[in-house]
Formats: sequence, structure tokens, C-alpha cells
Amino acid sequence: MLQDVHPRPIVAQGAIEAACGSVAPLFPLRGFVAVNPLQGFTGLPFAAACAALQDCTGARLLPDGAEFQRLPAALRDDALLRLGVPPGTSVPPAPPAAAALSFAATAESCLPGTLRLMRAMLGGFLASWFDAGQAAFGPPSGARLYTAWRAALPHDVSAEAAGFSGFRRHAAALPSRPETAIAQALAALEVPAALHDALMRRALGELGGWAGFAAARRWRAAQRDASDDTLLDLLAMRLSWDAALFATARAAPARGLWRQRLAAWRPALPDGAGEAALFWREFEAQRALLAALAAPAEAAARRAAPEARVQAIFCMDVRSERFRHALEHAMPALHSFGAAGFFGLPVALTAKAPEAPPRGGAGAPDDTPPEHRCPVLLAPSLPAHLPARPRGFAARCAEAWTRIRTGTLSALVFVEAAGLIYTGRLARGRAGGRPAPADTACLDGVAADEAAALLEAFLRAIGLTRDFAPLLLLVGHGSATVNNPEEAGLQCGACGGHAGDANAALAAHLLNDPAVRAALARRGIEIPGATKAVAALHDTGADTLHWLGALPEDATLLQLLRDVEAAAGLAGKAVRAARAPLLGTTPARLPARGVDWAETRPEWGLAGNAALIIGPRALTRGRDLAGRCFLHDYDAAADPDGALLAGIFAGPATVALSINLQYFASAMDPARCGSGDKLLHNVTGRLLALQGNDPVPGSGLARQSLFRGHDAAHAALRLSLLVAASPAQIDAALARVPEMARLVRGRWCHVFALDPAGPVSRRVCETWLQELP
Amino acid sequence: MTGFSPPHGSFAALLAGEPQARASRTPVLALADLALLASAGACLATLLRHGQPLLFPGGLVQLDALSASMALLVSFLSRVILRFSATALDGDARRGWVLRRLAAATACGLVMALAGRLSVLAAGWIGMSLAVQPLMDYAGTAAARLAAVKKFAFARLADLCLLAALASLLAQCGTDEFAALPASPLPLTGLLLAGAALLKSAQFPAHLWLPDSVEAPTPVSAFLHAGVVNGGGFLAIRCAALLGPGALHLMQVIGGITVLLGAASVLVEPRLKTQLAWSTVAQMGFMMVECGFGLFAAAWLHLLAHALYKAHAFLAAGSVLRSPPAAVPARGWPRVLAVAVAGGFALVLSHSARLAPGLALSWGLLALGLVPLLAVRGAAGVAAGIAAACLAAGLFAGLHASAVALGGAFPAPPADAFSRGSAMALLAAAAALSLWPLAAAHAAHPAVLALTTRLRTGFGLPAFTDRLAIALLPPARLAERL
Repeated sequence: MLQDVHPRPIVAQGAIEAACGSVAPLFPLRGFVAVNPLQGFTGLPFAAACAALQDCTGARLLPDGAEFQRLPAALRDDALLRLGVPPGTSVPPAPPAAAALSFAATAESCLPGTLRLMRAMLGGFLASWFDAGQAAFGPPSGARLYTAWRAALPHDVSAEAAGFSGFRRHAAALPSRPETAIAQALAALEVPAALHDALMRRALGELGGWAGFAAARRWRAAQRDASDDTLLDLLAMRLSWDAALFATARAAPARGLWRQRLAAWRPALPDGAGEAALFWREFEAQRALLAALAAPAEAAARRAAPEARVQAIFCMDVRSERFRHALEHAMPALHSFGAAGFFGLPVALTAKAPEAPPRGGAGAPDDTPPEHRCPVLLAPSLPAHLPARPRGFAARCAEAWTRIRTGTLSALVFVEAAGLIYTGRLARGRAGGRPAPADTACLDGVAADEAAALLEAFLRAIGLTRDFAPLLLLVGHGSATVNNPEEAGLQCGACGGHAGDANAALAAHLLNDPAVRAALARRGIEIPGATKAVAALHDTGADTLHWLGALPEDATLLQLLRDVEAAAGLAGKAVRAARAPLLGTTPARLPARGVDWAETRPEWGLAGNAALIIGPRALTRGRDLAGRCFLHDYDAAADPDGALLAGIFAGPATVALSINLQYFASAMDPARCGSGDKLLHNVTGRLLALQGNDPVPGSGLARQSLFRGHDAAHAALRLSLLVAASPAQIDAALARVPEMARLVRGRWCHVFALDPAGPVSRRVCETWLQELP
Repeated sequence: MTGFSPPHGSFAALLAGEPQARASRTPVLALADLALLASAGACLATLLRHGQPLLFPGGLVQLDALSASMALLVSFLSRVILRFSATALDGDARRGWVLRRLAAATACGLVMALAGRLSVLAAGWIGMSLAVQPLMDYAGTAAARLAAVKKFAFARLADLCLLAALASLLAQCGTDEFAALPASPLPLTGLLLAGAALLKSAQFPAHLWLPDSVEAPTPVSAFLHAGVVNGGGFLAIRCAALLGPGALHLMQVIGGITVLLGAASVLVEPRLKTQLAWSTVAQMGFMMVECGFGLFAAAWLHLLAHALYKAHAFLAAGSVLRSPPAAVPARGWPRVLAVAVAGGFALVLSHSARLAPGLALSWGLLALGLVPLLAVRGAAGVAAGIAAACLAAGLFAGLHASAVALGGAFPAPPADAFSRGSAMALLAAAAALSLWPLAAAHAAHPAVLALTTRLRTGFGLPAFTDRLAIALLPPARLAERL
């Protein structure tokens, strides 16, 4: 092609890679899991990462530094000491950030509507391209994204209609390779090489959720050792669009502005005062938490039976903490544990929808992909399926009915003939569609030894390797909710945004399997023959406990289960009483929220999360931590070299940190790091939620998930990791997990050592500082 | 095992449970309950009088099957939407404002439904639009403001048309009481009434504001799509006797274009609520086509049924991930054959001089819609047949019931050459449209790509209207990020 013959301007491949790497993944609604929105900048200290994100998206993640400057000097010094800054140092507020480094944003200031046009033209195409089964058909599949966009562009007259005549003529000269297109566009926009990196990051930042969605594809591809160029194509599209706009006559006034902006642009600086103000808020919360842990336990906990009759393993989720506290209060013979709620089983669950209706639209995948019922950090390795339900004639009729309802012409007739039927559904508030319980999942063949290896790692991590009680409960959690596209955010993060039912049921099944038990015994974990594992699901909306799968037939065990049921009833009542005021309702009305189709806030999810406590339950039992702590069991005595702790840092702690930072960012800047207002949500392509008609999705949590009106339910605080181990042990474990060590060093979280044999100390700049009581 | 909840039973049972009424009691909801009761009473009274219109002094209120059922529809939908909003806006400082606005719009809707004079109807119709207008700007974003500007502009055009019709009616007849109107059509008044109805019901090119209406919160969208846009259809049915051949032909052509545009856009739209908005465009077009062919009783049934269907579709929009994905019909020869057979049948019907073109069109569309879905073998084919038979039975029962309920108040359907020609053209276009999904296999073909891209981008019209709206808005109101 002619345009490819031109001498190729140089763009470092590294700069493109760096720009693509700066985007945090955004997973589709169906398997939405929390992602650290600063994921692309974890190599930087926290405040620097916030500044880098501000350059990409304009997000402001740190509080106003003036808040800190107003504190008395003594308090300021107290905080600075713990920040590793010499007391008395002045922390200057950061200068205001430079204007956005993007041509479309520059043009917006003199030609209002330019950014909207960009979002409509690029976002609209991307919504069709990524569509997974909403439209009957979209752009041709097969070609790569950039090629398909380039082919469709000459037929889109939107830019001309908006007054940018000549846009398509410039767009028609696009080169066939995206790398060349990027280089050409950067040259056309007259960007100096020093600004390439920043400009490309901003370009992707302005594509919001689509860049994140492409980054998620990249992430999944990397897990399979494959590569995915979608993000590169996105970058080429965006820059080419800007370059085509730049060349149009109407954009002439913006060109002068742009040259000034290029000359004056400087990256945002880390906001030291803002971080200090944030730290002060965290410091106050940490003191309250340490005081709560130091206070004597409630009387009931002190009376707790030393010998457990029931051992219940819960998810580490903050919502479990409330329920465990109340459950143990009601049943002293129950000892609870906290662990990653997928019970160590990285399951890929296929819903065997038998004989799916014949499909094959351009964007629609032919099969529903398996659900990853494990943390997003892991690639699932255990295939499982739900048993096929026989499909009766009634189901076929219902299918035919749906086809008539959605057919192009038949829809007209359908509405006239059958629209009146919807009176009943409107009156009852019935939204339709219920998830099938997944607790009947079956593994597609797994060796006993393989299963035992997974379960061994799981049990050792929480220090449950001996003294098994007669009843071992595996309690996953899920939230009943209807008409809520963001429901995955309320489910179990460790199960990839799904309820924990399948994992709990499978873990219980495996733990009861004699072959697996024998293999576990060979690995040094002897589960007595009398011990039975039973799976359960904790409904976090209603705070009820439900058994999963078949129950044991032994009378003693049944009696124990009955006792647990009674205790769970009491516990549910207590937890509902505590939760209801936070939601502005009464305990009795709480369970109904999950089945109300108008409810935007069935529960608060993980709002309020502030700390992860890694240690034995004895440390927290009998203490009300108000549902703000992740709890992971850990026995330092069984971990002399820190290997188990390193595993917890690499897995559960990393997940908790992602969740924490997701809530942090969405609470700090709901407009740029949130998915907006649920009442405006417009789900596109069965994948992501848009705001109104704007075809560029946001990422993060909806406003209603964090705020009730103007009242915030989540205090934006970085996670405090409280580890019941000696500083030396923690240092040893951090040395094994460089990513976590880097995050701790960069103040992405706080680390405390609750040394069983010494004082409480805080990690400050590679050393430990004793925390005064 | 007694005393235990059954294995994996309780969680599912909970999910299947009924939503319980929440304590979102407000005076507005109590008022809505009253309105619903009163409307139900009005319907009962009409039934007892066997549809004989009941006129109140001064002609302010006319109670008959049309007005009573419309009032029942408005108050029922309003009750549902108000309850939804009361819960969904829990904690929001604007909750009271939204509820009051919706209640005011409902009151205006009731005035419109029960009006015995065109002037009263116009007052209700304009009031309803003005009451909802500020809710378009709920989000406070520039996108919402642009959507609000577009809606405002098209709504005022419709108002102007209606007021002109009112003036022309008063000039010609000296009265605007429906009961006292002549039974013969008034060409100019009819044309103005048809224009008002088309503009109100988002017919091409007034459809341009409707896809942007999803910038409003879900319950407001439901109200717009189930309530406000029906004003046009209601007006046409109420004033059916005044519509001359010119007005009917206009409705045939504009309605026909709108059906085709809406239905084709649904095929390429990946955004759920926006797709629902395009479906409203198509459905409103179909309703106008029915009016244009003189099938007023069918249009009335369509209005009621579509309002209920679309209100539910919007309010349940959050359930999309639990509903089955779009099914692409079976490809290949069976489908082509089925469409050819159905199309041929329809053309033959429309040629047949014994049948009014409007009826030929409805039967033809029924055949074109259903027959291709039957072209599957085995049990699925039998199931499709049963579903289609149920639907057809429901349709005939509904049409019969609505014709009986409304009585013979309508003029005879037009059977002139123009109507016959437009029915044939519309059927041919519909047959082509039903073959359209077959093009999915050739999405990369330049012609297909050009057409789908232009449909997806609205032929550049959204960008053009954006530009106009931006020019209309003061820059300060656009200051927020676009």
C-alpha cells in the first residue's frame, strides 16, 4: 500500500508495550472480580501510582492535603514518623496536574462535543465488536479488531455530520498495520518522542472500560501463554481517530492549542500531603482496630469449649467475620476458620446446557465459556460440570416462544397478542431468570492424589492439620439478588465472582472420599474416620445458612447439624440486627431485599473493608470487628521458614488487596473509577454496564454499592495486614514474594506484626517500629 | 432427616420467593393507589353500561371503553413505576422530586385519557410531557442534557401541531367536544392531527430523541416508553373519525418507514436499553401503520399490550445476563423457502380485492413473522408450531375482544389504490427484512458492511442532532465532561 511505503516514523515497541501494560483489566459482568485500578503501576510507590493514573484518566485518588496541614503539629509528627518521614518535615501539596494529553480533549475546549463524538464512534464500534449475543449481528468476525474497524470506518458518516468534513478522506488513508498506524498518527499529531508514552497511556485511559476489557483479554491470554493484540489495536484506532480529526479543517483552532499543550505538558507529581492526609485517616482506624484486638474477649468466647465439636471453614470475606462472630457466640463448641473461599479448588465449571439452541452470530460465541470458580490470579485446572437436566417438550415450547418474542417481524405480532400477559409480571415485580444452584457440580475426573495435594495445601495454609472435630463444615457464600447486572460484585471474589456453592460442595465431596483421605494421610494429614465434611452456603444478603448436597445419616452428626442450624438462626438474627440500620431498613425486611427487582443495594457487599488479619482465630474470637476485616487463619508455629505465610501473601492477601483498592478508588473518585449510577446502567453486549447511551463503559463499583444518597458506606483506607508472626518471619515470607514486598515498600498497604512473643510493631521502610498501645 | 431443610433447597426457594412490599410508603404512592382504584371503578362502570359513553357536563370528561381502559393502563403503570422508583431511589435526595414529577405526569396522563374535548386532551398531553421533561436531566451530565434538549424540541413540535389541529377544528366545527364532532373526515384537521400523533409517537424523523431517552433513569425510561410515546396513538384512535385519506396515507408511509428502520436497528444494536428503545420505535411505527390502514381497534390493543410489555422490559433490564442470548434463526434454504412461501401468500392476499389492504397487511406480517420460525424439523418444529398457534389464537381473541369493546365507532378501513400499493410495498420490504439475518454470514461483504455500519451509526443523524443541540445549549450547561 502506498502509505506503507513512506519512511516509517520510529515508535519504540517498548513504549507501546508500556502503554498497554498500564491498563488495569476489567472483567465482564458475569465474572466480575475486583481488580486494583492501579494494576498497571504497581512498580511505583502508591502516591506516584495515583499521580500516574491521574495522567491517564484524570482520576484523583488521594484526599485533599489541606486536611493534614490542619492537624496539630504533634499529631502530624506522630503520623510522619510512621510514614518513615523525619518529624517536622513539611509535606507540600502537589501542584495542579497538567491538562489532559489528548488531542480530542484539547479540541473539546474549543469544539464542544468532540469527546462525545470520539466516544460514540470508537465506543459504538467496540460495543458491536465485543458484543456477546445482544445484537443479532455485528461487524464481521475473523479479522482482527483494527482491520475490521478500518474496513467499517468509510461507512460511518458521524464525523462529517458533526461538521468535521474530510474526516473519512483522512481515515481512508490508514495503513493496514496497527503499529504503522500508531507511528503515523504520532507523527501527524506532532508528538515529540519524549511524550509518546504519556500520550498513548492517556489515549487508552480515555477509552475507559473498553481498554480494561481488552487488557482482561490480554491477561487471560498471558495465563495461557498466548498473546492478545486487542489492546494494541485499540490504541491504533484511538490515535488514528485523533490524527484524522487533527487533519480536518474544522479542527484548525484546536491545532494551535494542541501545540501549546504539547510544549507545556508535565507529568503529575506524587501528592505527599494527600498521602499524609490519607495516612492520618488510616492511622486512626488502625489504632481502633488494635485496641479492639487488645481488649479482653467477650465472656462467651472465654467460656468457649476447648474441644471443638464442629469446625467450620468460612471464606475470609469481611461478611463472614460478622456471621462467624455471632455463630460462635451462639455455639461455643463451634470453632471457625477463615480461608480463601474457593477451598483450594481452582474449578472451571461448565453449565452443560443440553443442546443449546443453534446460534452463530458474528460476535456470539458458540458455547458458554466455563465459569472460572477460582481467584482471577489462577488459571482453573479442575474441570467440572453440572449434570445435564433432561430437556422436556415444555422447554422447547418456551424456547420457541422466546424466538417469536425476539424475532424481527414476529416481535410486532408477539407484543400485540401477548403483551397483556406482562400485567401479572409487572404487578408481582417479577424480573425473571434465576441462577441454578451449582452445588450438584461433578468433577470431570480428578486423581485422588491431585485432589489431596490441593486440599493439603489448603488445610496447611490455615493450620488445620490435626485435632479434627466430628463435623467439618465448608461454608461458601453467595448473595441472593435479582435484576442486578452487577451481582457478581456481591458474590465470592475467591470464586471468581460466583457463589461459593460449587467449590464448597466439591471440597466436601473430596474430603469425604476414602481415596482422597488415604492420599491425605500419606501426606501427613490424618482425618479420623468419624469426621464428616458437610458443605453449606452462607447467604450474605439474608444472613442464613443452607446445607448443600447430601447430609450424613449418622444420628450424632445430624444432631450436631441441627445444633448448628439453631445457632445459625440466632446468629442470623444478630447479624441482621447489626446490618439493617446501615442499609436504612429493619432486620425483618432485610431478606426481602434480595428478591426485590427495584433494589439497587441488596447488601453492602465488602464495603467497609479495612484490614486483613492473618493469624489464629484465638486472636479475634469473641471480638466484634464490625465486618471490616478479612480473616485468614495461620499458625506461625507450623511455619518456621515463612513458606506458608508467603503463600498467603501471594494468594489471599493479594486478592484482598485488589478488593480493597477497588473499593478505595471507587469511593475516592466515583465518577472516574466507578461504574456510575445503577439506574442509568445500560448493559452492552451482555458484557459491561454503560451509563445511559455513552458507549464507553466505566470500571469499578456503582455509586449505589458505596453510597446511600450522600452517605458513604465505605471509608477509603488502604488495607492493613495484621500478621500473627514475628517480624523476622514476616520478612522471610516477604522475601519469597517480591511482588508483595514491592507493594509493602511502596506503601500500597500497611503491615503489622502481632508477634505472639513480643510487642505489636509496624513495618516502616524495611524496618519495624514498635506500635505504642 | 426431619427438621432439616432439604439439600440445596432453601437457597433456591428463597430466590423463588415473592418480593415483599417494602416500607416505602409515601403520600404519592397512596395517591397512585387511589387513582388505580378509581380507574378500575371507571372500567367496571363502562362494562356495566356495555360501552355506552358516559358524558359529563361541559364535555370535560368522556367515559367509554377507550378512555376507561387508557386510564386504567396509565394508573396501573404509574403505580408499578412509582413503587419501583421509591425503592430504587432509596436514600437519594432527589427521590421525592422524581416521585412527585412522575405523579404529576400521571395526573396529566389521566386528564388526557378521560378528556371529553380535544382542548382538555391537549392540556393533559402537553402537561404530561412538561412534567417528565426535567427528569431527563436526572444524571446531570452533558449527555443527559443533550437528550433532554432533543426530547423537548420534538415534543414542542408535536404540541404545535396539536394546537394547530385544535384551532382548525374550532374554526371548522365551532366545538371540540368529541361527542359533538361530525362523523365525516376533516382533511386539514386530520392531517394536523396525524402530524401531531406521528411526532409524539417518535415516528421518523422524530424517532431521533428516543434512543437517547435511555440517558434517563430506568423507571423514567419505562414511563416514557410505556406512557408518553403512546399519546400519539391515543390521539389518532380518539380522533379516528376526523382522519381523511391524506392523513391515513401519511401515517401509512411514515409508520411504515419507522417500522422498518426500528426493526432493522434492533438487529445491530448491542446496548440493551438502546435496543429496547429501537424496538419501541418499531412498535410505535406498527401501531401507526395499523391506524393508517384504519385498524383502530387493533392499534388500541397494540397500544395497551406494548405499554405493559415495554414497561416490564425496561424495569427488568437488569436481568439481561440471566436471560438467553439473541438467537440467530436457522440459516439456509428452509428459511429462504419459508419466507418465499409466506411472502407469496401475503402478496396474493394483498392483491385479493375482497380483502381490505390493512387486513391483508396484518395477515401477511403474521405469516412473514411466524412461518420462518416454523422451518425447523423434529420436536422443535412441533414446539414452534404450538407456540405459534397459541400466539395466533391469542391475537385473534384479542383483536375480536377489542373490536367488540370499542364497538363500531370507527370509519371503514381505506381500500383505495394508494393504500393497496403501500400495503404491498410494506409487505415486500418486510419480506426483505426477514431475510436480513441471512446476511450475517456475509457481514464482510461491502454492501452488507455499509448498510450495517450506517444503521449502527444512525446514518450520522445522532451526530448531526448532537451538533444542533450543542449549538442550542449555553456552553455553561455543557461544561461537564461530555
